[in-house]
Amino acid sequence: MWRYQRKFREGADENVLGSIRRMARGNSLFENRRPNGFADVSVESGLTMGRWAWASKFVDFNNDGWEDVAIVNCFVSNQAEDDL
Amino acid sequence: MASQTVGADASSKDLSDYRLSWMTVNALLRRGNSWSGNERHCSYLNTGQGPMINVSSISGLDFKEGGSGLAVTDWDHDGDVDLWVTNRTAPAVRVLRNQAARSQHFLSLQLIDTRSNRDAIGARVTLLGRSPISMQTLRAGDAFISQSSKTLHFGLGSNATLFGVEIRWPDGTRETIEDLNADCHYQIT
Repeated sequence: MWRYQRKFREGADENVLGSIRRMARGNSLFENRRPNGFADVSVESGLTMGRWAWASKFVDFNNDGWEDVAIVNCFVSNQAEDDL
Repeated sequence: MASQTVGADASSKDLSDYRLSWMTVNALLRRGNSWSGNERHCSYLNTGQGPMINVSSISGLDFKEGGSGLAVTDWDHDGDVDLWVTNRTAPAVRVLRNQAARSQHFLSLQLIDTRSNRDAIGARVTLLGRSPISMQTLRAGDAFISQSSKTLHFGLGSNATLFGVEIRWPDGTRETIEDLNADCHYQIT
């Protein structure tokens, strides 16, 4: 279960909340559909949560030929886990 | 999908709403809340079918530390890639040894270029006749304050039969090398 923004401006406009939430979750994945540009496949790829990532790599951890993903992140972290 | 910032066509109400949201965020942070659930590092498994699977916890990568650098290399030369993570907080460095089961095969290639740059930065290697399609570009410094090994590592799955690779060297020359063995480290000049 991903936790964020429980205390954050309850009832605020969903677009504004969406902007902040998207920044908090971190990741986007874009699929190159040449010659038609890129498609945002973040949600269907299951990759949305990376948080405030500094370094991300596609890495095949288990040698199965499919590239996995490793992400290290760092931003303001305090004891409370579930609040922005 | 919402963009990270309000767009150029935003009304003054949108803008003030957006700024107010950031003030709220900052106020919460000052009171001891975390940005995004006390961030842990993330890792995802690609099974080739459907969405990626969040394996942050089971992989052991989900440290709470403030990480910034990530370098990938087969540090112990056992045929799977290990990770180096640097942190802003202690410990400054973690070496994460990959202890995945050795049931799958790999290929490891070190390129030495005699025509353009010695380390062959910019070369692209494609495995021939294998599925899924596997291609890697040799880079130097492709993550923040990090330098991964310039030895290319390919996972081969359960198929260990002889195969070839196509190398596109940095100067554009294409070269095909046939009959490589799985589970080997090759140096190609």
